[in-house]
Amino acid sequence: MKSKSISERNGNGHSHVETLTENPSYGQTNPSFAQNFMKETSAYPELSETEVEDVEGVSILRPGEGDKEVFSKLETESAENETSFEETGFDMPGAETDLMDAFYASYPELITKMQTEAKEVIIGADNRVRIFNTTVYPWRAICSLRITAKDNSQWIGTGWLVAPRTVITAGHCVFMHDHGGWAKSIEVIPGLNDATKPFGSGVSANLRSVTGWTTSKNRDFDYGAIILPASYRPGDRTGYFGFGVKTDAYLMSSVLNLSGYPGDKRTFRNGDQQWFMALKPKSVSSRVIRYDIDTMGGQSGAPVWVKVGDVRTCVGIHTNGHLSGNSATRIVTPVFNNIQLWKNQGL
Amino acid sequence: MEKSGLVATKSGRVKLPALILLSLISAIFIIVFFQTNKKSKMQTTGSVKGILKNKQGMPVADAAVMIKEGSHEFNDMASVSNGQGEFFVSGIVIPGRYVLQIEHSSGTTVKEINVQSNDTLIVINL
Repeated sequence: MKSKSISERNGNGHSHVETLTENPSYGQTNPSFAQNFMKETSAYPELSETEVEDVEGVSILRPGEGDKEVFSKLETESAENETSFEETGFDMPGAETDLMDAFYASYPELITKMQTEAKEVIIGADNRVRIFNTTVYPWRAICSLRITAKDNSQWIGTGWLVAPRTVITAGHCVFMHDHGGWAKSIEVIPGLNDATKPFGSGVSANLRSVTGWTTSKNRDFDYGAIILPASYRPGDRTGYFGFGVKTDAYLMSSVLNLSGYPGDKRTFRNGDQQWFMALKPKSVSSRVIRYDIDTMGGQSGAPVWVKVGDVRTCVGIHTNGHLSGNSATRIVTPVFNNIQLWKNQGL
Repeated sequence: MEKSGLVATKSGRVKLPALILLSLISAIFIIVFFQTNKKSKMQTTGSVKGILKNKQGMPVADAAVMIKEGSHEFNDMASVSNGQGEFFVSGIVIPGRYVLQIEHSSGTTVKEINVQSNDTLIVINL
């Protein structure tokens, strides 16, 4: 694929670069990466400097209001303010063996074969790979969503765990402007594999998004979260993804991994299948990452992550399709801060 | 040679007043601007409803309907048809042309739709 030139300025051009202090608790397996790792903090929330869609029904918020958190419920939950821009994931050791399907116990040779096929590497164009064993990390931390909108219309989407009870997804999976606003309920099914629900499922109407999406309907702010009930903590068993803010240059040189539950691979009335693909991005802008990774309806909310050694860091939330490139809402500092906030609400 | 806002040639013969010329250019600019603006304001985002029917004309439930291609960017969700065969195509730019892919019990159906307004009703016979 022909790569585009990379702008040295990030987003609005007011960025600065600083060295991230290595945190030994992150357990980085690649010291050279950790030592050279740079993070960028930019003045992203300036809505006046971002594009606003030229469509009816879009109101313009004051600068900086786009990432203001909004809830599906009236109660406010407190959370600590965090200053880090890299949040590590968590893989539950030992869970993999215990949760293998009985089928795999009978055919252990298939496990090695399937795990090899599902490695997060660059694969050929337009080739998605099915994740047959969704009981291993990171696939088990990816969730099929069955969404019931306020008007009772039914939808499918994808989400990913960042905490025992917090699922990150697209804003349009939790708040649907044309179907009553906040979803009536969402069933979250981690690692769904056809009809098999290896980690059960939980239903929630405790939803989060930001005003940039709920009020302005701005694609740049299309992200949200589902807080699962206290009685259902799948992340304790599945592990969960890390997430972080990365520079344009870092993203453009990285392979992006994307896995979710596309509707075209749906087993009729028998569940959904998880499919994966990875490619380098086509372009990055201040709020959006574009790529040629194949996606279909149902993958909204899927994680877009980079993998270095055993460290997986989500950098985007898949939201849109288009012939010119499918795209994700980019995790920039305000997005990071909100995900961090929501993560704390699901611990 | 310039006198009282009039533009003159070297020979001293006065041409069109600068003010009138400027007014004409401004008028053309304003007309073009408002035409363009009017065109873009006619575009909106919305949701349209559809109905899936089988060969016998009966509604098809539990089918997944998603956009495969579109003239504009679209949300990557899939709608699931209800007992009346109803589904929605949501968050799309209208007017627009979209190719729908429908996964149902009998297989896969691909249909192109041309959505002109929010009240468009799409009827798809599978």
